[in-house]
Amino acid sequence: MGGIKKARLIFTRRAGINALILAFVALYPVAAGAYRTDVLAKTLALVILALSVDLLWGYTGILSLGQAVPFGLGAYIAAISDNVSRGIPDYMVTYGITQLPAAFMPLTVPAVGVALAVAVPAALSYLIGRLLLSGRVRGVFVSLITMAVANVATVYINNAQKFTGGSNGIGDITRPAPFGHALSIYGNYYFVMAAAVLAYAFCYYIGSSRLGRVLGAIRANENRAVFIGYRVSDYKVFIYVVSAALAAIAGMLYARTTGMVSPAVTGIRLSTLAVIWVAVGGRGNLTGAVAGCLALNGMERFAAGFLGDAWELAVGAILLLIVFFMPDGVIGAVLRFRPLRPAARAKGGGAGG
Amino acid sequence: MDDKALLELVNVSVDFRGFRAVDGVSMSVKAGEIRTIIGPNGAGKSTLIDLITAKTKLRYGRIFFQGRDITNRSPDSIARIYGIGRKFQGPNVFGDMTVEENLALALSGSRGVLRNLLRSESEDARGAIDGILDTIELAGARREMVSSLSHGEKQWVEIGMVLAQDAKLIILDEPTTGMTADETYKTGEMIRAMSGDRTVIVTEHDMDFVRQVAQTVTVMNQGKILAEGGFEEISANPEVIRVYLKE
Ligand SMILES: Nc1ncnc2c1ncn2[C@@H]1O[C@H](COP(=O)(O)OP(=O)(O)O)[C@@H](O)[C@H]1O
Ligand SMILES: [Mg+2]
Repeated sequence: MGGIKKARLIFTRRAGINALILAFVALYPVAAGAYRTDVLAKTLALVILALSVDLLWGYTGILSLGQAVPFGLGAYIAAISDNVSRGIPDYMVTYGITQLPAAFMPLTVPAVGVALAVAVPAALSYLIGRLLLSGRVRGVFVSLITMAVANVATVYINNAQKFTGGSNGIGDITRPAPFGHALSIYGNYYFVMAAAVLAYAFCYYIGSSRLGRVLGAIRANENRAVFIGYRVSDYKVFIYVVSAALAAIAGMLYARTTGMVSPAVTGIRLSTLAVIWVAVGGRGNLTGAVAGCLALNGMERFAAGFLGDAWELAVGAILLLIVFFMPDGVIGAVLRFRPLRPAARAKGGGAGG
Repeated sequence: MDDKALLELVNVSVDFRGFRAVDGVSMSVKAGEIRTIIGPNGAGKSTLIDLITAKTKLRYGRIFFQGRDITNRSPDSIARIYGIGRKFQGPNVFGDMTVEENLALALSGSRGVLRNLLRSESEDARGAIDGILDTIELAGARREMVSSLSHGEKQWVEIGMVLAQDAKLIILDEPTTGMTADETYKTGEMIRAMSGDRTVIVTEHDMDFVRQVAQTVTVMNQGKILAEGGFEEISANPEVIRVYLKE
């Protein structure tokens, strides 16, 4: 079977699955009521985090186990900005702050808060990326270092109580106010949904650009890409920063949807979960990241009620099964599934050789 | 230093934990020539290519390209800035991509991140790719996955990638392994066609192939250059016969 014909089949199937997901998400609030709608809005913010993991891991082959760091930083900066725009937050007062530190002044302007919630994690990721992805560190060590960074971030946020609320986190965060006043639950839901759709379109565009092809080449055979003249580290750092910015936007929306943040949002657990959503859904095709995130979070809602902590074990079991039986994830398997002409799968079938 | 040399190696050596894989090699390749490097397995041919293309760091000696010192530049700048393209021993291609995509990736043009972000795949010069597909005789397989091709065809895809790079110096490490006699002959003709405006260095085992393409032959043995000259001269050299041709 020709590469192009296969690509077309995959394209059609993916478009079909996307349409189903979009229809479900768009109509969900009609049937679900305010509480559940708000819960799904939170998950839609996590979908953007999953997409950011797919850019990095699925497209480029860089497995970060610290993607919650830019997510959490985005969430915290959004939370602080929201709180300080209304005066000195209660948690700061508790720790004896009577006047807002100068460094926090810019955050009192909401638009600046939004810009910094993206720019700060992106800048930090640029620094980490330059150190981590310039060639000396390889493979699993990249993952381990990103994981260590996530740990440091959690500890730091826990300890900087005066500014972050410590282990209590920050509450009392209002919903986004793109038109001057805070959105309703439903308004926010569609706001986050629109952001997720835009994030998907953005990732899709990158994937279909020539840049996306180069990222795929780096993932498949980094060495070959180097010897045809690509400065691979530039590409890796670029996608690392873009992915961090996307994760930060996700974090910002998450904080303003849930109304509170705690140190866990920067931690290893969330980082790992995001990778699991993508692994289960299937990496490299975006739809897998979306579906994996929605399905596992949905199942958690449903199952945590009677499974309790055993849910975590169930996730581990699901992950193992998928890794063994569907290495391309559920969506990857669906996209590649070919019921007809099994003989065509034989090696060299239909090739010009 | 030879003024007309495109590539000049001066006393180049490298050790692997005390084992000297390339030992004091000096060599000069003229613009437009086809240089064949032969020698028994383990003679250091591939390692020499690794040194030229900066895959392996040089310990001693210097390498000049068009009169500029390129010793220990990064491998991507050797390819991008100086225009030295390389085919690895055993095909080294992107198996999960189509033939056309492999060529498009290698196609000369901007290697910058932002330029590539704003450029769509289809804007690539189709003409250039069509021409290369004809040269490597794979026009009918342009949309096949490279992993589904035969070994010999993969070799051609990789030769096509080096052509797409528009390299001034093309280095081919054993390009005909796994090829039928017919394919080997075709490959020889490809190489003859690509020389002229380009310079080609090719390592090889098959002496018929060497006879077909060679202008100057360099014979390596145990990391050193054993002899250098025309094909007839080399095949009559008693020492070359002893270490290589008779084996
Ligand atoms: N990275 C390496 N580490 C250690 N030994 C190496 C390395 N690369 C090559 N060698 C050794 O150097 C010698 C030359 O190898 P090579 O250049 O591949 O020879 P050829 O291409 O002529 O067959 C061999 O003995 C090989 O084992
Ligand atoms: Mg070799």
